Amino acid sequence: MAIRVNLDVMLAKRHMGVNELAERVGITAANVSVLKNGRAKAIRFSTLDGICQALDCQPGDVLEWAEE
Amino acid sequence: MQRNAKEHTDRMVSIGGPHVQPVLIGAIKVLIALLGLVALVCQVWALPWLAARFALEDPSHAYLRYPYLVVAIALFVCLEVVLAAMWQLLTMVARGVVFSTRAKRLVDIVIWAAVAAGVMVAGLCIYGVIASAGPPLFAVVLLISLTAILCFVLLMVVMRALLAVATAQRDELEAVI
Repeated sequence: MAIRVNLDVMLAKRHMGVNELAERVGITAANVSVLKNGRAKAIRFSTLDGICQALDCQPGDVLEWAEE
Repeated sequence: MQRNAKEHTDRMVSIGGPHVQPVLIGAIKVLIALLGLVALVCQVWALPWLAARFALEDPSHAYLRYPYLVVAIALFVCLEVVLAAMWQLLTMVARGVVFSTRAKRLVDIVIWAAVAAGVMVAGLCIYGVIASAGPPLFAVVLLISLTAILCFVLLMVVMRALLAVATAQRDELEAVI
């Protein structure tokens, strides 16, 4: 999957844990891990919206395309 | 933040699809239980009595009494297998776990039981013609039953395909975070 989800950097910047992010966004902590580990196949815009709200950032801050 | 999370979770619940009323499921289960009871009573009491009656009324074919009885009981066993599978499928629908491999296997069981019953009825039809056993009404009833079983099998094959598609779509949607 060439799309990378860089949650670690933003989570560190906002001093937030995986569980807190999960609760704020409304998804399970397991799904946050799936996102972090690059195992996610698809994401809803509503989830992305929640992540950007929770981390106060732009989608480009957490999403990256790296050619393989 | 709170509004967003709640909306998100609400959407999660609705992904399961339209939910069947528990009352409806309960009512169908009662019907299944009643049918099962009637089938059991037939197997134990009505069928042996009918077989004895036919043997008395048609002594030339009295040798068929027990073979036909066995086949009739086997047919009712097929019916009971279908009823049991339907009961389990209904339980799964009630719990919302019907889009699974287990449900597909249960539908397979229903289809095979119906096919087995169809083969038995077809056998009875053919033998009835060859040996000209039983009154003409019997042959008509057998033919109608065979048609009904064929329609049921075709319907269940369509349902199986629908279930497979729905399960695949649900699985794909589950992967979306």
